[in-house]
Amino acid sequence: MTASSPPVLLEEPPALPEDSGPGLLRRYLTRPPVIAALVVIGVLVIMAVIAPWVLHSPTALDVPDRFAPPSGAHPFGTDELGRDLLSRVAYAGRLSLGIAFGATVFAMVLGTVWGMAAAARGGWVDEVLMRIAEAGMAIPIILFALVFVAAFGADLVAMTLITGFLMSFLTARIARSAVLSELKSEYVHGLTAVGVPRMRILFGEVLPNTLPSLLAQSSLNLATSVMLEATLSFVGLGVQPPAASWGTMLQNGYSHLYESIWYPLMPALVIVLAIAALNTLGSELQVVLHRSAS
Amino acid sequence: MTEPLLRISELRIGVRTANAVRPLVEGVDLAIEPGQRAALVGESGSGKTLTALSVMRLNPPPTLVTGGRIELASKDIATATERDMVGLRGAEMAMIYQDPLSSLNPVRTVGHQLVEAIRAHTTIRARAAKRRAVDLLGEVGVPDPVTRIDDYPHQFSGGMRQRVMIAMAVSCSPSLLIADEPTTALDVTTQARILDLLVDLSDQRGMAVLFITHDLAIASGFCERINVMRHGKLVEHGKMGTVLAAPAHPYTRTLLDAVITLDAQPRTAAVEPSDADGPLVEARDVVRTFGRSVRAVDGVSLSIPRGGTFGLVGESGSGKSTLAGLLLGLDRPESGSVRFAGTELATLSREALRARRRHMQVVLQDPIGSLNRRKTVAQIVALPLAVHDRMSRARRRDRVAELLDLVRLPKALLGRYPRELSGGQCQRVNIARAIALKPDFLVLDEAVSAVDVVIQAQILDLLGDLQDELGLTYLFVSHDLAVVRYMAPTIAVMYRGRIVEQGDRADIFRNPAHEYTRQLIDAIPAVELDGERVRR
Repeated sequence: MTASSPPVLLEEPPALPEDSGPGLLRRYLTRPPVIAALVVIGVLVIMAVIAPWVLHSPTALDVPDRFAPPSGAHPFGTDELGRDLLSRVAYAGRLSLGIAFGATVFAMVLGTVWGMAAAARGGWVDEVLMRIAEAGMAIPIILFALVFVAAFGADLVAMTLITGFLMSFLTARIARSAVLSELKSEYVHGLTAVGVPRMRILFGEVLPNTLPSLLAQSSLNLATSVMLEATLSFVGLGVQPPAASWGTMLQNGYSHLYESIWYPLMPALVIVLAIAALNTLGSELQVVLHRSAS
Repeated sequence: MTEPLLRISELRIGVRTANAVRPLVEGVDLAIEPGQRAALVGESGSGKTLTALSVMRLNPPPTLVTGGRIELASKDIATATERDMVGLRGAEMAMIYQDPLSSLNPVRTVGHQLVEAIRAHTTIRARAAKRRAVDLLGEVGVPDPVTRIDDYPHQFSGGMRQRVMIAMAVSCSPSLLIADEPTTALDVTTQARILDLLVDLSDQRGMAVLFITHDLAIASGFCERINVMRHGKLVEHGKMGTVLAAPAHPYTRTLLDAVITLDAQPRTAAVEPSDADGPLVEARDVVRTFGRSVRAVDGVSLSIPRGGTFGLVGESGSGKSTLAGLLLGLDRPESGSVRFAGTELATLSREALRARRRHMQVVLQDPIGSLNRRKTVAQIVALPLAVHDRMSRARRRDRVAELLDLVRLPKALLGRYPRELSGGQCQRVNIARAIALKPDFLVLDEAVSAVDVVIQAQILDLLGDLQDELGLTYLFVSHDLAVVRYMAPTIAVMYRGRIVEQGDRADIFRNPAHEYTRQLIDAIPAVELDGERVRR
């Protein structure tokens, strides 16, 4: 071994891998299914936002024209009071998407703290927290919701929190396993040895690294909460009249199935589209993350 | 001259990217005669594994062979059908890998997997195949093969697992065995035994071996011919003796110089260690057990003077890393005491211990894994400064730049992520982070074990210079006795949780007192020429 190093010794930096860093987002956003899903979600959100300015009033009655099929004047048709269905779907979207979004954020925050506490503390804390999560997942959702609605009522905030809470069990499990696998990696050991405080390692280093997988989960959570809200509203446990969500619209349309097939079909279609699009966003993110990890 | 068994000519391999094919291997020529052992030597990323995988036609997509010919026993691999290839793999050529654990199915017994390999190419009955499998296990040196055959891969040690892999590879008597760094993940003593086994098998069966390694010393004792690869090109090839005696290419010379043999002149520190204020680190009768029966550290005592380098050598599982963790206060002993600069670590509160961490730092084995993959080099190196020192942003930036200078990394790398660096560069980043707070004590826990020999030599140089410049005290932990000898004037040999021998390096090498130390010394690969050690 010699001190003088011939030039051939110089270590060259490897070529930048083509699929590094910021490319991840770009690769995600250029996938055709992702583009399609974003278009669907975008249209639904924009409709909900701009509804007051461009659409009929959702409460304007046009009784002679009730149960009308789709036409130029009413693209989605009309309901039993002659109200414009497109406008009602758009307005209902404000409630449905709003509840879904709020619930997802709540589930993310609660689930992440829950799972992280379990993973970071370990031992009996872990056991207790995870058994609670498993118990929560074992109870049928409708039964759970029934109890909660009976206890807290079915106003918007309660709906949001209940939906979020129901989803936080699974999120907690996912957060726990993500944090656990990070905590096992050598860099955490290295940071501990450097003297970085535990909380700083958890929140400054580990949490950001688990975010991608948590984001993928929260996109799936959004889809689940759209469905949960629709389910609860459909069985009458959710949003109460006169407020309308996609679920309550589907419920109303269902009871008028024989007058107009369009009435239940339109909200159902929107629910299916929204759930499919959100699921696509989540699963595609998992695909991209999985590829970049391997 | 006999007809070569394997002939590779003008081989080109590329990787398909979005709009082009980037070349990785450019025009490699190689020939192996029947029964011959040939080495393919080069650093990681030089294309040696890719070349070998192409022979099996197993190169992973999106890599593809873009030109040249590969012929095995005059059969063209490129035009063979997939069915032909299935017949060739295993029967005509077989491969063993670096990591035997991940190459074996964890939920099947080794017997099941061996029988499967045997019956894939022969028509013998299950019972006969099992008898053959037992014979094979015995042949590759697995003790008590009749009972071990029903064990699962996790019940074997790393060396034994590699033996099982070898048994599987030779089960259908291939004429060519491709061995891709088969001993890199193993301890030195195990490595020596596996190499002996491969030599025996190759001699007895007349089996040719293509041996891939980054370590010239291992190749020199094992192979008759050598091929040196760098950046996808074959830079030198020929008879092992001829090439080693007079390397024509400067890179071959670099590889040769990087080998640390027992004849190497050990490094001497510029500053003599001083024991004036008592030892910097001192352990007395330290015990740490896991579970009920595993005594990972079993009554260890040692003392490291300020400014000195203390070498700790032992095989994996001997308790070296556990001991290092105890000395750093990352873990607490069940009994015994660990003192740092005179303070008993066990008496410190969590906060006091954390504050003390700035004086004792560690560099770990996995250069890339010990860095947070989502932080840039600048963020990684600045973190300890942010945690322990209150300083302005500008001041911190200057200090990070200074540290990069110290570990000889260009500032252009500041914004890069770990995966955009080579292994050697990552290890330099680890060292920069470790010395950021100007510690007194640095634990190097297998810090050069995961990098190529050439990089290892550079990192060792760097560590030596840093010690001289900064007056660091090192605990140098490694399984490689030659490297420990090179770095540390005082050496302790650890075996099954105990320090079986401790003292001056010259004494230990002159007359090793413990049987295990003798084994370690014998297992160190030397650069050999026709069985003779080449003095360098």
